[in-house]
Amino acid sequence: MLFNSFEFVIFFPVVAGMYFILPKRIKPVWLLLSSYFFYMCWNVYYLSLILFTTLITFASAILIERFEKKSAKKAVLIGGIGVNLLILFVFKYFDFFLDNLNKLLGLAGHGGVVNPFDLLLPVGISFYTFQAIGYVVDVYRKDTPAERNIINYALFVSFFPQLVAGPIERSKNLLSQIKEIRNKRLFDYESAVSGFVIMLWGLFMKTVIADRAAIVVDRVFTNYYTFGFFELFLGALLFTLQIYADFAGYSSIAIGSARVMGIKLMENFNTPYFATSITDFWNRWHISLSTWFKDYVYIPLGGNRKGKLRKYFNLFVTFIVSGLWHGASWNFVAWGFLHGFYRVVGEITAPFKNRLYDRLKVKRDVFSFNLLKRIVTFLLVVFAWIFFRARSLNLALNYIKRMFLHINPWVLFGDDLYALGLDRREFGILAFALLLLLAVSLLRYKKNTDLGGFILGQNLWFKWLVMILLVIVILVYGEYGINFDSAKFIYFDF
Amino acid sequence: MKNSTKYIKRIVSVTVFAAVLFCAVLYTYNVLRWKDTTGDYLSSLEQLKNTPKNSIDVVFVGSSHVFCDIYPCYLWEKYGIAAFDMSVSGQDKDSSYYQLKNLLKTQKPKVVCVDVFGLTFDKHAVEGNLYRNMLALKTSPDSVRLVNDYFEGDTDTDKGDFYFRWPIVHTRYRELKRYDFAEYIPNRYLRGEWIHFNVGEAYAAPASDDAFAPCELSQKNQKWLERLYDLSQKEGFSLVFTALPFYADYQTQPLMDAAASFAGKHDIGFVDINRKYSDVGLDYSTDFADSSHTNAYGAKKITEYIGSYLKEFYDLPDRRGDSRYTQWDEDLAFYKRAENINALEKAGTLAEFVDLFKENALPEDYTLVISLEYVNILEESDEDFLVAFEKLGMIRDEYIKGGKWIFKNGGLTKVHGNDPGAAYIYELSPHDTLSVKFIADGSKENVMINTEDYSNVGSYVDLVVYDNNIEEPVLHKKY
Repeated sequence: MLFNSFEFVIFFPVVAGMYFILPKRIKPVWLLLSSYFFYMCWNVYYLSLILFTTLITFASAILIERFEKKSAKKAVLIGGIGVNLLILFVFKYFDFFLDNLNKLLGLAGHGGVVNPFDLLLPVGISFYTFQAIGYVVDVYRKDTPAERNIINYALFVSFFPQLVAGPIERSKNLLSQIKEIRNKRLFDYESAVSGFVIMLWGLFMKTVIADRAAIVVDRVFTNYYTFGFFELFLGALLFTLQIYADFAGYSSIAIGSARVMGIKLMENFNTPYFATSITDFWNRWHISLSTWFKDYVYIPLGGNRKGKLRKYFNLFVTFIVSGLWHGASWNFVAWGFLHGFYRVVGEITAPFKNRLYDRLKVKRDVFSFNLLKRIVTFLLVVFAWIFFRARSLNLALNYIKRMFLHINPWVLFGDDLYALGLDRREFGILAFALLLLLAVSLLRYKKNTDLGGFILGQNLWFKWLVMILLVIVILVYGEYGINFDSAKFIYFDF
Repeated sequence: MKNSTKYIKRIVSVTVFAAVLFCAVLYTYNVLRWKDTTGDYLSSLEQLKNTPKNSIDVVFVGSSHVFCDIYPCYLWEKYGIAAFDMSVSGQDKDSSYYQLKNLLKTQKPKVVCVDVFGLTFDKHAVEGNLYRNMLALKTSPDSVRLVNDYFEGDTDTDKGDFYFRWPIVHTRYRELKRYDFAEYIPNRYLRGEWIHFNVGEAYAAPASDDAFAPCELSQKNQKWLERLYDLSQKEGFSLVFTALPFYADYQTQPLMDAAASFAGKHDIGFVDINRKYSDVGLDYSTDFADSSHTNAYGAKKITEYIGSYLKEFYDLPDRRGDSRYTQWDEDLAFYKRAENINALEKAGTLAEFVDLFKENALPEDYTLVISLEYVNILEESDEDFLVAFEKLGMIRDEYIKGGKWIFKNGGLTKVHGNDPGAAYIYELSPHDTLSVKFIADGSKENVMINTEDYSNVGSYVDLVVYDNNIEEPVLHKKY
């Protein structure tokens, strides 16, 4: 079930309504059943994977807590994580592994290995697997006690707003709130209103911005060999906006729908394209994943505690694993590597840059300096997204090569750019929607509040106007329906 | 107490918000929904909605063949038959059945004539026709059944898009026009016909003279005819099948013959115009707009032929003079105006135009905007111009100076003092504003209706005929 589907428009009010009406002790069971139903709308059989992951990690955590010996605890930890990573490997990486093995065997003059499986990637498997692994590690580190109530824990793993595309929650935040459901106030008006607004805003980002930008992006990336620099740059730029509107839109709907039910999910995006460096970008982009990698990969590898070289190595490893997490393909690895490279080069060159600024007497606390940093960071991110969006590493390299070898400024002075799938009117709608996105991002950046919180503090007429306009704009200008091949949320595949 | 007041306030607030949101969404849907505004989405559903209950005696059901070939105004003028075309462009079998059922909710016709062109196809080849038919009915159990029946066995189509309509109609924001917001006035009284006089290329159907050779009907075709027959039995109307002219070939004419056989077995009337074209007197060089649709001249012949058939075999009252049937009078008047405009359009000279305008047009029906530019040339204008302008009440000394006049209710008014640069504004209707400037050299934007330019660029005399009844400019002539 997609958030931007008619089914969800029916599903969510029913689930939330019943959640408020049902007796407190039944609420978690109701949410759990609803979450399983939500997942089964994609694939009934793959629910068994969630159940398996749930049981394995639930039992692992209890055993870790129960065992006295550290070696036994560690064995359970490794076993629990290993089983989950094995499932992830089989369903997500086995094809990739075999492809590369066959290439190697081919180079060595041997025949290839035939894939014995024909498996469909289970939606959201990377998200719930990481969430469950994070919980087991937290218990091992004694950051959180092992949960003894299977309903609570199963709901933590499968809570439907964030089940298939995050945010990847921590047990400290989500599990503790789930445990409190039985003692919570039935309904909080403010949470419901602000949650509703955030959901609408997420739908707006997805249907009006992301899916509209996708029309040009798909055209440009599919036929990149017919275009020059400006179309290809526009394609990369619009993909940068598309993936943000798509994924942050999904996160908004997830956070908003949980907030309607009185549950606060962690923030997943904090104006990432306002970042002044790549480090800053990763503090703002897909926060739940980047902090997960920091807590469960980078720090266990030694973080920055074992010298500079080891730190750079750890950064590269973390970013490459992050790339692989996003997809079993070399272009994702390259995307991760590139971000690792940005980070490491940024750290190595920082002292030289600072000396240079001092020598040239560059003012560093002024708008123009920060603006330039933002622009440079943004362009680096745009460039890296080409690897992410291209279907293979080879295509990404060809795309970039063509972009820099075919400079065609004349297309800016005719109607050529309007032949990429969006005419003037549609480009106008996209531009206006992006201006709104910029305004809301500035609100977040300057006032440190999301749209839901901002609306809540306004007078009634304004609240109503914003909500009604959002509903109408989504219904009218959203990309959905008969002439639209509804793109699912990009992050479902990860 | 304080808490309960707060809760009550919030409940009221949420309820009022939900009501306002509902109204806003409903209004938006009404703007976006598929509409029957002649020209773009041909269908007579809106006209049916404006028809008094139980007033229609004869219904013609079918596709464009019906709204092009059958003009209820002719039946009204000649026989006083209160007829109506229940037609939607490209009407398919399932749509015809459910559109008829929909009509029967408010009407009790004595005779229903169903055009059997629907036998020639099962699925729409034109996407627009699919939407026209699937979205024509108001949402109801029957509109859902229509979608189910049409898409029976089709697993690729998301029927939900058609049930809920928003997924289809929301993209209409790209094509919204005035009549998506304001009423299309002709829908108040038109009886389903689409009046047009253009002559196109057409040929006699190749199989029209073939021997009678009914083929076996497909299951879907057989079911359709049986459903119509069952409906006629249940609702108590007389059923007639018509095969209005189309380019029938060796594959499609046997289908018409099969319908004739079915009709014969079930005591259903049957008129095949393709086979009767010489009896009807159809002239393929003058009576057709294209190979499968007649123009008003052809429609007159077919409608009168079917009218005489109906009069002969069915007991149909003459409703003329009955105050409940003023819509049929207005429909006829609309047709007469269209006929007048067609004659004016063909007027070769200004004098001929003025003669026709003064002879045929009711003074209150039209506002005639007259624009004269190119002053130097007007001074040398010929006798024809002088005579014509004098008939409108204009003397030579006036018109050679050029200017802008309005002829309305039989009187002529000069509306512009020829001051260079000055603009004169005249409200033609609540929606249309005429603005004129006198430039004297035929420059652009010297006659504007809203933002549409009717300037006489390259012509001495510019005439714009504005229909006061339907509140639209209907003719733009240059001399």
